[in-house]
Amino acid sequence: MKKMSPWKLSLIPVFMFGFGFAMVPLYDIFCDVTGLNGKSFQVFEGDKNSLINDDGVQTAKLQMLADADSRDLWQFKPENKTMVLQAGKLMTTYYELTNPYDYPVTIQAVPSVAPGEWAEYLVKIECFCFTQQVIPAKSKMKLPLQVTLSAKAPKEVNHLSLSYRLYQSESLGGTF
Amino acid sequence: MSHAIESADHHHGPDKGILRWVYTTNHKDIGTMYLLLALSSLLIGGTMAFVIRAELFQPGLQLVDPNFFNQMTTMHGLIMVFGAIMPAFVGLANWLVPMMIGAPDMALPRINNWSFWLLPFAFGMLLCTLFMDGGAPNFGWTFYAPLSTSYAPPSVTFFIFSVHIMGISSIMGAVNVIVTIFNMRAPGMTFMKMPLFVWTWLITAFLLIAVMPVLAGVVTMMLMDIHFGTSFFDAAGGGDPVLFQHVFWFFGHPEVYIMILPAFGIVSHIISTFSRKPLFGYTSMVWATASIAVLSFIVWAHHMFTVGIPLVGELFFMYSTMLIAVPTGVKVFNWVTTMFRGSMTFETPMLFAIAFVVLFTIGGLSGLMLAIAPADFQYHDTYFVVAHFHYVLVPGALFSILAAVYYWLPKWCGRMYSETLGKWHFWLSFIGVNITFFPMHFVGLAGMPRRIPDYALQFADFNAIVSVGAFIFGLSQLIFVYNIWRTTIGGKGEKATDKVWDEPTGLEWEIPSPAPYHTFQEPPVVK
Repeated sequence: MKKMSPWKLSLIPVFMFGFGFAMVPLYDIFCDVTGLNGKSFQVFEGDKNSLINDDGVQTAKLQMLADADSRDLWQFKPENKTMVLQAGKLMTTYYELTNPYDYPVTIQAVPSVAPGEWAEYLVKIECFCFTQQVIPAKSKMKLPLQVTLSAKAPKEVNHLSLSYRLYQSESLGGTF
Repeated sequence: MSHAIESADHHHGPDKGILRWVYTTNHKDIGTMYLLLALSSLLIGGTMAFVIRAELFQPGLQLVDPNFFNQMTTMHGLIMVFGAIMPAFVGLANWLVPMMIGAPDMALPRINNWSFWLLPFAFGMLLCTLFMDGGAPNFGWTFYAPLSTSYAPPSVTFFIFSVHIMGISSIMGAVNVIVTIFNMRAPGMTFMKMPLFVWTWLITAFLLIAVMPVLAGVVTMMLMDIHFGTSFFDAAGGGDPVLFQHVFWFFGHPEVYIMILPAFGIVSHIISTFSRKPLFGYTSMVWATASIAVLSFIVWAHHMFTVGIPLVGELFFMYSTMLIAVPTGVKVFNWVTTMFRGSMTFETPMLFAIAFVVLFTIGGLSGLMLAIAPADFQYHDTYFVVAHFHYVLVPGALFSILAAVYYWLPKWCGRMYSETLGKWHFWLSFIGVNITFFPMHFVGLAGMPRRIPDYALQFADFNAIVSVGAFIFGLSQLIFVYNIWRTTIGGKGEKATDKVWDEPTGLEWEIPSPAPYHTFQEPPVVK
């Protein structure tokens, strides 16, 4: 009878330990493929001048949401709560943010688009969420956002919600 | 226990004194130590349950502050899962697997010693966190990020280290069981002739080596998030807290079957013996166990129906979870059919085994209710969930362990336990467990959230009843402790025959009672 080797058997736990970590990228890939988690919006990388006069017929209402903390210390809010996106037409808007502290703070905004299945039709040209932002002490900032609707959006795409959650990224793991 | 009496023909026995237990590589000694560790964890975790139930006896905050209450719920869960149920099953496997397959010992005796001796240190460290600045872990036994990372007390690092240690111990124990079963079966014992306890443990061991490393991975990620600046679960750095729940439950769901599959094996033996009939549907039992194990890997997100998974995901995890009811139903059917027209007697192990079948089925049915995704939105994080998993873990896993101890104790120590005390223990436990956990269904359906130290007034009556039941159940376990003590150390009780019961089947009944220190040095031949 062929004997089972404990050393060979130990490869299973080693493999599964690795698999636990492999779940991290797999999770992102799975979300990308399925469009879950509202993160699969497009980032436009071409020449943005090409967009400006390129009128499409498809329109969708975009609702903008902001979420900094429950105490509203930061007065993080969009300039316009809603706007109408038109396929191929560049729209610029701003989010306002006040740093209440007397020291500068670095923030990272994390976006989420709902419904997740339609997230890919929201095209971002410029977003304050692409990089970390330094907010000077005791000051109010306007954070820019440029978006458009993808020309590929099917007819039933008539509304999208875009929300941002702010995280303080200076102290690691720090939230507000 | 086994060391008390030794057959005269043994040329070498155990060392003398305390060092015997430190150095031992004997599967019976190690099994005994595992069982004693599990018993002490049960009593410690039970004391924590007493604190929880005392606080919840009345609405309002009476005894402990909310943070300490959270530490109690967290530690109660961790200690019962990792310190009581799992080591108890490993202890039973140590004692029984070699005797059941006709092997002289476990395949890797020194690894076996190390697996055990890691545990007291892991749990010692976990318990020490209660006395540290900031207190013990207070984020629930499921330790969801960011509660267990950004908002955790400093003692979380000790918690992570102790999970690592107990994970290593479990993995080594499981490797040992698999290698023993594969390599050391007596001649003639084919896989389909193995006793069901051995089969269920073999499958459990495969589950353990597959998912304990994932648990080790997830706590390692937490450790790196807390101390080394990574952002696995931190949205600010591009991570995702929901990822934590996926990785955790990928471990967590197979884990709940790790805690119940060996119970299925135990109950199958006991019901067959006291019905005086061979087990009905042996082959289907093996296949049902294997299918439950396979299904356990594809149902994890049913713990996460409310995190915002898409409709397709909800449906997939709902149907796959419900599918588990089929093999489980096969098992319950087989146990009932084994009893059907059997010459049944109701000794203590049989009482616990029958209670297992009935009460585990209740827990299984509430599991089916929870599996219905739209209904789960209502039940999620309520006492209904607490009722469900306590029904499968207490009158499920724990009753099977108690049944196993009563059933095999005469073989281990050579004396019969007191049947009168056993019956008292059973009936008080049975009544206590139902008074404790059944009303939890009602308060849960009415909307009482879990993990709270205070609650709305309309839940007051049921909570008082639950607390009374919990104290009946908890204190009745002292009868068990006394019964074990008087039978083993106390040396009371009539001497057990070699067969102990009325014609039980299995190689462990072919050897003398008490089981000699070394058994099956010459392998028996299985026909």
